[in-house]
Amino acid sequence: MDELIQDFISETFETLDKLSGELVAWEADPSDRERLDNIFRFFHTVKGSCGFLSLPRFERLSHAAEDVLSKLRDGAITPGPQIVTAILAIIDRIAALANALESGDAMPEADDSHLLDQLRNACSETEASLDPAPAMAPTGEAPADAHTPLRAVRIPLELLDHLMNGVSDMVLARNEVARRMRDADNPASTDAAFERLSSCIADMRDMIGKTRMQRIERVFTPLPRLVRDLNGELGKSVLLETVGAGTEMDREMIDMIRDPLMHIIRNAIDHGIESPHERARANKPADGKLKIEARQSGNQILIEISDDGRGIDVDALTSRAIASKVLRASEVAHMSEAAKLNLVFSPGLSTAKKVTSVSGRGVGMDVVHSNITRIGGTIDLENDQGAGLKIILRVPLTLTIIACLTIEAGGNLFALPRNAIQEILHAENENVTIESIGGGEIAVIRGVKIPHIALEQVLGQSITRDIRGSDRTIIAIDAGSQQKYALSVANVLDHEELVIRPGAPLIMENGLYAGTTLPDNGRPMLLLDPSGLAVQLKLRSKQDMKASGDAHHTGPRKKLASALVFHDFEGKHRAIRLGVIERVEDISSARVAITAGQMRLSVDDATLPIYGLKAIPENTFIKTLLLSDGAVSLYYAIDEVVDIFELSGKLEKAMQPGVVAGVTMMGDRQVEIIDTHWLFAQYCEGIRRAPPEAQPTCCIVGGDDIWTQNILAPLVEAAGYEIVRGQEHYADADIFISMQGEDQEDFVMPPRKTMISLAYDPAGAGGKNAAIYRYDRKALMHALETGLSERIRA
Amino acid sequence: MSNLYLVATIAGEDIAIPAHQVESVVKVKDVVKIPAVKPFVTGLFALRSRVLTLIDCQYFITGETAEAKDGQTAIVAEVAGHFYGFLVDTVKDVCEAQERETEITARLSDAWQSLGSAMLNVDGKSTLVVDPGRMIEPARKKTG
Repeated sequence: MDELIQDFISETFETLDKLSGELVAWEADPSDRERLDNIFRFFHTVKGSCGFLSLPRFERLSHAAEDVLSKLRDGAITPGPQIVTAILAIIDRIAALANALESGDAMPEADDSHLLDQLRNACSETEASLDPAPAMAPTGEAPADAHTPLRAVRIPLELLDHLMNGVSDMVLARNEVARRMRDADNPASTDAAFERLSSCIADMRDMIGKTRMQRIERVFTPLPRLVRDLNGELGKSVLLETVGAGTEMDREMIDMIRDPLMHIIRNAIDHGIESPHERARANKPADGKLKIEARQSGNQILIEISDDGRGIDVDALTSRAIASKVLRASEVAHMSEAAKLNLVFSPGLSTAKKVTSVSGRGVGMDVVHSNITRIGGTIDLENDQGAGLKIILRVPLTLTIIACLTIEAGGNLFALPRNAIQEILHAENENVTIESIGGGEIAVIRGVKIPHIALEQVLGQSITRDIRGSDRTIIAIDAGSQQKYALSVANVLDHEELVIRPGAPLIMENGLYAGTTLPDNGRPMLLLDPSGLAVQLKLRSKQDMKASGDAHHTGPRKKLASALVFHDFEGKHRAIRLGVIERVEDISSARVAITAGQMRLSVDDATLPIYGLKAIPENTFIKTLLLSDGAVSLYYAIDEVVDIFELSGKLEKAMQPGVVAGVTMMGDRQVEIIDTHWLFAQYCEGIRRAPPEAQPTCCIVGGDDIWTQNILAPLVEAAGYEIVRGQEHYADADIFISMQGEDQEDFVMPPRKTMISLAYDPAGAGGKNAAIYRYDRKALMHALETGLSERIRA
Repeated sequence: MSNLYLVATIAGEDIAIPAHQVESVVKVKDVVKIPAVKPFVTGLFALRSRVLTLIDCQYFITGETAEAKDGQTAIVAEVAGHFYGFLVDTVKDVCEAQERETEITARLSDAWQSLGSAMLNVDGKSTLVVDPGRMIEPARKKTG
């Protein structure tokens, strides 16, 4: 509590002086709404903090002042010197109280109600007759809207850390016990008791983890002031909006994002948002908008900072980059818009025309970028030149738990942050070749050349022949700032979430490691720092851009679609666009059956078609791709996943429409590209978009025999109908099917409905009711189709 | 301040470490080596849920790296917010100093010069007082 009070006091003092000045200035120009708002906001903040800190006297005073200011804003009372004097008196009293609070002296025993009376009198003199100040602060008792005291205690962070350590110890001890118990022969009751203990410990660890969370509000609170100050300093008029202050993050994380966020805001106001004058010329509202929105998305926190300023002038940025020799003009031609935009993050670049005290020294966005990536976050830009810029920060929920890949190199295990990894390839993969050039190495991954190095080399370990072996794994890493490289490791072992702690300076000084971690096996492991490794490789974004530029010197790079290459049961290498693949799923072959005219897979209480199987497989499990067109899903059974590649080559069209749209080259291998349109067209007839309640119904009139039940029904259902029977459906079914010669006496064909008449043998087809031979599938399907489309039209 | 000292042996020589600097004395096992660090950084080891950096004290004297043996004794101490394990040959005793630390009167070898901070009379024998922090700090300065 002391700490909070201390913060409160220093904050209050800081503002008080300024506030008096503001108030006086406002008195000179009562139409200055913004100033009034600021003054109001101060009292509001003080009131809020006081309620929280239970400082009733502060609260009463600021509440009264706030109340009057609110009326001034609403025009319920008109400003006058008495009111200003009375408010100033309250400011003085607040200062005196804060002073007393700080020094620990007894509060000056003055009568606050005297001041409040003075304020009230001042108001009533000018008050527009209507309401007799009902909301005026009560003087005697505590304010009615006093906050319920927060049921909380303050705990030193140190204690929480100890607690966290303690729980971690417990988890390790539990793991040890679990290992021993597996070896020993225990009665079931012991195992059950241990299970219970084990889950208690797990819960506890989660709960302790939560104590580290704090609301992002802590970062948001000082922002209005920052924006206000910047507005004043830079002659801008920017309105700040913050959303999602309640979002919770690890407190260390909050500390880490504060500076980058402040920097981005400064940039936005200084460079992004134009002066009111310029805005008027650009037909924008005079007040610039700056919106900061935080929200949780999975195990990440998303912070979006959007402004409606001028955005980034990409051309100016690139010419600046050329001028400051960050890259050559020839390189610019090959860069995508996004790559150009990302030049903002290059060190030593600034688009600011002049250096101001706020920003424009060329140190800035690169620092922001490296700070964000250091904590495992990413930063994205959405530029709308002339209309604004949106900066999206994605940071992990906690600083300490990072999704990692465990890798092995030179007999040691290391953790590598998952977010830096682009791709993992086996050295034998045909998509990657290693070229050696001038003592260095380049990995060519699908035509893109990036520097390649064995992790053992980076770590200065003795180089054995193994590091060239074919059983190596190559990890393509994007460490941000276009620092891409390929790291060769002996083995990729696992993917786990690890609790990361900072390492001792002696370990961190080489820049290769980002921290230490203790996995459940109790053996410490080092977390590699992908950008540190890049530095070690002496990678500079310049060289790197050139490398990727070489691969695409055919012109500006298009956004290429990626496709998954797999080997299917027809023995073909085929590729399917990643976009339609929802996931790769191993399914039990017991769920596969041939129903309603096609191979289907049971999924909960429904079925989905499965393509690619000739027969129900003998293996217990089949690998499948779950494909989705957004509304409808189907499975594609495959033998194995081969790779992912970019669809950059030419597509040779197939001769006939079918499951294969054409052939393209992946390296030197021909790959058939799946025609997803055809596939869905084939298989989605039975799975209409219509939600169950809107599913069309087909009433089979009479003919309740094996054929209609077991042969006709699946077909009709596959066409998207629900089969209904009985008289009660005669009126509301969408389509009717009757068997020729089995007319039901009580059936009267409802108007404007379709009746399909089926004949038992070909001879009966045609006739007065245009009967269809029951095995004339084409005609029958057509009739069902027509019925369906008529219904949709209706 | 208490005048307790931990007497240990580094490279065959007795030294004293002020007990208030020592958190605990442990036997290390499962030491994980760290590539690309200073030669006297033996590796990492886990002490309950903490990961400690292991320092090879004898390296400062002999200039030769030695591998940590499982079960070797390490003195755990905190330096600048991080915990380290200082590998020693043996830990002999904790003793109460009868006198104050005195200035080093002997001319020490360069190696010992860098570690010793004072001299102390332990059981009638002059013993060098070693500040574990000195093994960490100069190392950091050299890289700066």
